[in-house]
Amino acid sequence: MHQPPSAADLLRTVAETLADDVVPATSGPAQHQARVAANIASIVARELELGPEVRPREHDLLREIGGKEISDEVDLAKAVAAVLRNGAADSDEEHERVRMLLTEIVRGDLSISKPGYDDWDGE
Amino acid sequence: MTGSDRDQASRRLSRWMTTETGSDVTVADLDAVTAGARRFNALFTANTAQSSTRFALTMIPTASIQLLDIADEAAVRQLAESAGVPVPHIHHVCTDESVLGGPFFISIAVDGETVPRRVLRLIAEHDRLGSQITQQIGTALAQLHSVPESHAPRSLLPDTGLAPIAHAISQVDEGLQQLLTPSPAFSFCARWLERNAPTEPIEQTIVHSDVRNGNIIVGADGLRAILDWEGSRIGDRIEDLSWTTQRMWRFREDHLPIGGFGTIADLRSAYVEHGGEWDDDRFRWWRVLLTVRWGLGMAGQSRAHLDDSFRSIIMSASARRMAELEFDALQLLR
Repeated sequence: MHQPPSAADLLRTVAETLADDVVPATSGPAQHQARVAANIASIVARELELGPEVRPREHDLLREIGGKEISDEVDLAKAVAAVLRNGAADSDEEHERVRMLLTEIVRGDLSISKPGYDDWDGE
Repeated sequence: MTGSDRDQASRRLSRWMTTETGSDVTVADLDAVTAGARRFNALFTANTAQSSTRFALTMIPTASIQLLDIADEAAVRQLAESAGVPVPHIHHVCTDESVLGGPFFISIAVDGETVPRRVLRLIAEHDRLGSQITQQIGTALAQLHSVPESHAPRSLLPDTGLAPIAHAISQVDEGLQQLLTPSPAFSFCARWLERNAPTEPIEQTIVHSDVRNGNIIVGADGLRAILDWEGSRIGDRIEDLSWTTQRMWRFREDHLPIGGFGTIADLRSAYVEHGGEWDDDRFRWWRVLLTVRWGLGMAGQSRAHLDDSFRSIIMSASARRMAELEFDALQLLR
């Protein structure tokens, strides 16, 4: 077993180095790429840490929409996507219930890919 | 662009402009502004015995990936200009790829801010400027949409042959099928889009398709030009209005839906005042559709990275942004 830092800690260090040292020392396309690289390293660090909570929660929420009997995660998402595309949430009541569940799922993804994006809930 | 590339391009451009204009032209100070996969943009000075003029060069590095034939793009810009839309006037079009390595056109250089954050900074420094620019965008779109569709090059018609609403829905379904993992959120939106689809527009118009903060040149005096006409198509006019409200173009200034600097009321009043027809339901429908389409496009960029057709760190991360568009679309469907 490795001594700390953890994989997430190391990725955060990569992100810090890129953002604090490489971005200011570069310009043009290279600078833009360094900025994107820093962002990717931060996303993956969060994915390593939060993924183990976010994914099971996503599957629980999906099962509230449909596909209760399906255990494989990709198959579950596929089945839910298919029933929604085919009209499972057409009624006003289902529309709002399902919309809220889907929003919760997306909030989980955003906690990894873009924390804070869901703070604003206007149009 | 390296120094020797720049010297060579300057020499070739000097020679071409000399032939084209019939007087001796020397190209100087050629500077790349942006160099993407689709576009190479540069600014330069053309010196003659009588004058010194700043021009913008737009070149397509690989003609095979152009969205719109460069001569047709130039024709659309000229149609827009004659309808009153502020665009940088095009002086020359060259379809001969041997001159610079790809087809190009040369337009007059327009001073001002284009980088979104700098646009927002300038607007913050001037009272009422954001509202003014929003109204100018509304006016410009009404003018563009007043051009009779029959005047536009035929290459602007969608290749599916479908009417705009049906075409847009079919693109969403195609995008859903291409996803590498399913998106229940976008599948839910696709169903809503299908069930709430407006009727096909009675009259189709030229649609710019990418008017936003980032594709405009502004100064303290207001809107100076609308750029980037490569995505022009014939379609439903409301699409252009809806696209300006995408959250991505607000750069976190979410309280002002038009590019982070203007209100929908300002856009609407100017559009209607200049003869445009507004429809709230259609406007909302297109906002949802465009949000979904853009999210699916993000996933497509990452697929292009994964299958090696366009390997790039920027494209690789695009699919991780899809959740932002899923969130926006679900917000619009409350």
